[in-house]
Amino acid sequence: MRARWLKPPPLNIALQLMDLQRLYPQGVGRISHDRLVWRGKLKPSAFSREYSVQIAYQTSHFPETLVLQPTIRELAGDRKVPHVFPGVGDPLCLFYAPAREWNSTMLLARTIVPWSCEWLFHFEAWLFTDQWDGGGIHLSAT
Amino acid sequence: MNTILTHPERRLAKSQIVQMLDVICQSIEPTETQYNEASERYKTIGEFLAEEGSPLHCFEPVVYAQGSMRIRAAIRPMHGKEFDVDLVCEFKKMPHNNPKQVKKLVWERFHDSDRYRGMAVEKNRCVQLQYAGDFHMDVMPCVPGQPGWTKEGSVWVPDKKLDDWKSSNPIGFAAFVETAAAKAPRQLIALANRIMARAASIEPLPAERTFTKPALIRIIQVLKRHRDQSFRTNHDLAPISVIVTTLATHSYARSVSQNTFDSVYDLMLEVVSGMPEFIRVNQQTAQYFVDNPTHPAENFAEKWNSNPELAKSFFGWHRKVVAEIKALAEQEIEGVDNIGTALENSFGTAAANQAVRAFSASVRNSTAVGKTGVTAAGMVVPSGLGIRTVSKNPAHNFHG
Repeated sequence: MRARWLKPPPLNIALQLMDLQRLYPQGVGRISHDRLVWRGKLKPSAFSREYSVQIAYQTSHFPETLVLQPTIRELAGDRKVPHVFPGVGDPLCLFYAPAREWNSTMLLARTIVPWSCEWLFHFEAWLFTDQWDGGGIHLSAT
Repeated sequence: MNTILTHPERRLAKSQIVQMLDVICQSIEPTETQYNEASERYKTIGEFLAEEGSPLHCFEPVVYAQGSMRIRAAIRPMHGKEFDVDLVCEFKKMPHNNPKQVKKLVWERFHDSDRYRGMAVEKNRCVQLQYAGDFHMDVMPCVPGQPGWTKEGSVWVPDKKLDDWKSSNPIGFAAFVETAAAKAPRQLIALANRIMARAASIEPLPAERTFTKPALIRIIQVLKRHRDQSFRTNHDLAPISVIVTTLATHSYARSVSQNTFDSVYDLMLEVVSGMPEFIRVNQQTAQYFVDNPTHPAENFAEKWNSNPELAKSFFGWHRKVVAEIKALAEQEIEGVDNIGTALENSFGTAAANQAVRAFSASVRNSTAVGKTGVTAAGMVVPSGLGIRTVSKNPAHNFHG
């Protein structure tokens, strides 16, 4: 598998954490057992709430982004929220994996975090309009 | 309000409010096509009244737009989608000294026609033509004022209730608004390496911080819409449009000539707050006056003096609109969704919905072309506004 061999190696997670802390000094992160967990406060617009967000990442997996406080559920109630994965805590769907929009050579602080902010902004608009105007690929259950 | 030291993030928030209010105005005003259709229709009406063979032909009627249609500040009423188009039918030659007879001439001309008969309804000062689904065209007959006796552009209008001629100046009034609206707001820019305000230069506000129409016209539309929403259950107490327009125009003219502004939002707030200062009160009689700027003998607020409830409801509404515009940018409202709710309370559900959708879409569109970044606090901001960002926001697709 020559092609796989040539693929650039994933970024070191210590480097990922360093970059997160440098860009978002209000956040806190740690690494244990090769797993990076970062928590930061994000306020996606002047009109927005401040959200406590957690990104968990292991090199061989895609990062998982959760909104801890206020939770998506307490804001959205029973409505079906667009662009979240099924699962505990409604993990955010921030990129289209089949198109390799994100891969392990990319810095979380410059991809996942900005995308989370953008998601939260469009989510707040959605809460009011019931329409997702943030773009993306919508897989309908047909 | 020369807030040259305003934080760029505060300035962005204000321009975002302005953008949302602009969308609200766009969503309730006639489209360019509708403006064109309206003017096509009133040209046809004008030709119909003036054509050879018409009993009015010899009196040389000329039909033109007045009011909000003329100054392009028209908005849709709260219920129903028909715009009111106010038209003047000015007879260049006096058809009759009796006001009733002049009105009757116009009424009969419409009533004798197969085309207009079913659409025509007589009102106090006009004949209304009802085009289902689109417009009401209010055709107000009038004769020219006497030169030297009345102001330039003045006309006399038959008034059914008064059973007399009533003076008006539709062209003069529109010119009063348009002249003020043509004065663009200016900002004070602090020059680099200098400290004091005298080292600052005064320049027009950049486009991204203003409305897509002259600010005065947008402010008038915002005010009228807020009024319509506030008085939707007690319409009889709503301040009349001509008072709102007159006070806003005076206040705007003063603000743009005396001050500079960091954002059109600051201008709007000052203009709206300053409106009551242009109401005159006679201290002895406690009577209110909102002078017609093109006809000083006319008091637009005449009815306030016979019905004090009207004055009270104006001042109550004014306090409300100032407070609500202020609240939008004071960032006490948490959540874009709650900004939506605030806009909904002030301007109605559909308009607020469009404003928030457009806000969301504008961020999406800027991101799609790589023109947004995030700050250290996680704020998504457009590039090039002088706000410090820590990362670009790379293009991507939300999924699932």
